[in-house]
Amino acid sequence: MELQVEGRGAVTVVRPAEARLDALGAVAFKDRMKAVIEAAPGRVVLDLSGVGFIDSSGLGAVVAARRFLREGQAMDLAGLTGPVGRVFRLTRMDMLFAIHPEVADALRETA
Amino acid sequence: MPCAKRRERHVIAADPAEVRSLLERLERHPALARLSAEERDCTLLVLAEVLNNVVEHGYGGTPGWIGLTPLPGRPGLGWRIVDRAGQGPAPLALMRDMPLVAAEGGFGIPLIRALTDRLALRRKRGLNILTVEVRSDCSAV
Repeated sequence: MELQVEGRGAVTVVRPAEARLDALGAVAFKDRMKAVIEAAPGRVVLDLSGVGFIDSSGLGAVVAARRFLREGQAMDLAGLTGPVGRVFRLTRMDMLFAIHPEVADALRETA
Repeated sequence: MPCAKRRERHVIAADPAEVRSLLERLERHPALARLSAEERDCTLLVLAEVLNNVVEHGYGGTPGWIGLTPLPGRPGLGWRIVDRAGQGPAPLALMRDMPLVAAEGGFGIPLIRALTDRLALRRKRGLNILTVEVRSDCSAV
């Protein structure tokens, strides 16, 4: 599970390179998110606009990534596609995150 | 003499990579192609949860196989999953509710329950036989 990481000022934008965040890739995703979050200077925005499928393992990995945040550091989500948004809503995990329609919205919030 | 119609059946090794590969093939399955996008998404999610549940909790890392057969009565929405895992999911486990706090797991079976209107598990001659029917109104869930 490769992650594309882009620094946008104080915000670090992370994009999974694969369209599936599932049981096969969940552990690798969590490991790489740990490294990204630890290296990030501040807020992290996880851009899921390229992810068309997430299962409960993928969801668990996204939730688990919050554990690596430092005090005062936040992780937001952006660009949830229909199937991904449904999983977050059904499990009520949408309550845990600030969710933005697109990355640009998340960056505007910082400005 | 009329030809007997062959029954479709997919058999995979109990492995997350095999599950993903089967789901990717099913995305192009004719019965799923006739569903709405929401029904198709829900069906693929339910099958992912069921198949991975067998891999992780049924076989628990030991080798095994899983069979998947479409149910003729509910094209694309109804499926039968058969495996020979020693520890199939206990019937009561199928009644689990969605975790209430910031859990990192335990979502699989509640997701299956939320997106299906029929879920039946039985054990017969050493086989676990699970029948699932995805809600046709799953987009409203």
